[in-house]
Amino acid sequence: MSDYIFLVNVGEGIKNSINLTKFIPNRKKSSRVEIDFKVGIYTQEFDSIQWVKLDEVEFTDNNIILNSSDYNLDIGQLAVVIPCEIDFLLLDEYDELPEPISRKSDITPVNERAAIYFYKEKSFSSYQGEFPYQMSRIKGTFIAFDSLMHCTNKNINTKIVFINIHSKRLLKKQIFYLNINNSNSKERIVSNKYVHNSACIVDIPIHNDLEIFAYSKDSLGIPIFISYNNLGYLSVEHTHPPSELFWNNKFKGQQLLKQNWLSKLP
Amino acid sequence: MRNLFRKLVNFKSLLNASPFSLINSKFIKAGEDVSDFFAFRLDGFETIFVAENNLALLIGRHIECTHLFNFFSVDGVPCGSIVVEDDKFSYRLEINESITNGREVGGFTHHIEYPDMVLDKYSELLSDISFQHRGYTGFRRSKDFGYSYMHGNFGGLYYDKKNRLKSLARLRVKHIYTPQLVIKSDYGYDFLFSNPTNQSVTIKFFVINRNSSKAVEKALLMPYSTYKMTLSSSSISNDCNISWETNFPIGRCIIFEYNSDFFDVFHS
Repeated sequence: MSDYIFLVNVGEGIKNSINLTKFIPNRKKSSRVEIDFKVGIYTQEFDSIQWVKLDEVEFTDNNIILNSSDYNLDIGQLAVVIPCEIDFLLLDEYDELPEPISRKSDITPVNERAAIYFYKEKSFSSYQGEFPYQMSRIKGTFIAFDSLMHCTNKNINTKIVFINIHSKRLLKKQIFYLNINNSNSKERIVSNKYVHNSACIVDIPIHNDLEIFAYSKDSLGIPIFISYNNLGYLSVEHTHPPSELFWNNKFKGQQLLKQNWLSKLP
Repeated sequence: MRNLFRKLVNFKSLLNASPFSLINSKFIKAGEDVSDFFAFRLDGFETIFVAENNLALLIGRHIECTHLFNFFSVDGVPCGSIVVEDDKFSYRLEINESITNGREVGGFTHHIEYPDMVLDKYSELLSDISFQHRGYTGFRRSKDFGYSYMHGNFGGLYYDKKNRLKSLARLRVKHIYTPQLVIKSDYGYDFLFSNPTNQSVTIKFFVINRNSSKAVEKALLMPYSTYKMTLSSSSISNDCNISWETNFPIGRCIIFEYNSDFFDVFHS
């Protein structure tokens, strides 16, 4: 198991940065302390199936800090950060992204994350996150509930930033849809288009006590919920995948849940 | 023989890294209800918890349920509980000192019970599924702001038929956890650790500067206790990193990063 990291331009003056350290995130005391690696940074234009290299960065001390504003990304455009061996030759272009290296030194759990920060003027919020390589290799569906959306009111805006990364070679860019529906009536509230290897950004309409959910029948992805106002409030978090609602038979539970919700929807 | 030896070595390695009891996790009965061990803080903060109604989310419509919240002091002693009836997909609990009996910092669990009629109706669906509660905890310093959220925590707690708290979380060999985080010299940091096991555990903190690592604090966490370690901006001379050593295979904690105007909270 290994992981990509990402940078994204979400607009509204919200900037994104990531922190990576050379220290192994979780290890047995007896295992190797650190790993020397570099990162390649690649992007794909909305209408292209080629990955183009934006940058290549090595450690000069214990940490690497990357900023979305350094890469002139359009709103919704992703830059994928690939941890790789120091001597790995990163080409200028790829049609299939290289596999990220594992940053583990033993079999201890915990994904290989980065601190993913978002800034709006002086306010900031972050989470420790990643995009699993395995997830970038498969098709699937997506559903998330509104646990992080309830605070939406007339003073607080909430966006869903839905990250999808497909590392396999694409034959063409497809158009997908991320939908926001009423959880009770299942009626659609809003639907936004996105394409492979981009971030779909949806402004959640003010909904007071309305229960809502987001879904896509077209792709997997990681939903980041960004709530903010003009007084300096900013909160960023991602929801659990539905499998986390179950202790045993996680994937059967997730399959049944998706079946119960998605089979009733267009 | 060599293969058998390799398998035994691999199994020992897996055992030493598994955060939960392998045997108990395999044999826990379907229908058992498992919770993370969450943290609250009311010392200048407000805490809110978003509790999910798992069965309602599974079947896609509202289902009557009873949310049960049990609170523990920093020392791991039960200090309060609250029961709420609800049928929506999620319920938001504002935690205050009347619920925690005046405790400002501590831990809590979330469990759900469904009426027998509901359990009978969905008995086939629930025959080989157990729910776990991970939820979302939000913190804020001022009512002018919204809550800053983080998801879940480490746990594996359930109540047995005699209503005794049981833990599936296990301590293993010593592990070192290093969040992917630059400790900035102009910010303060609080690290909130929860011990979801029924054993005491020691935590040692290390600040890592360019080429050196220095132990800065050591603490003992009693079973089901919560511990707050503070790193103030006055004690950090340069940007650095932090690690901690525990017997948790996943020694994650809740990190508060703040200056005088803003704060952030996230799960390490």
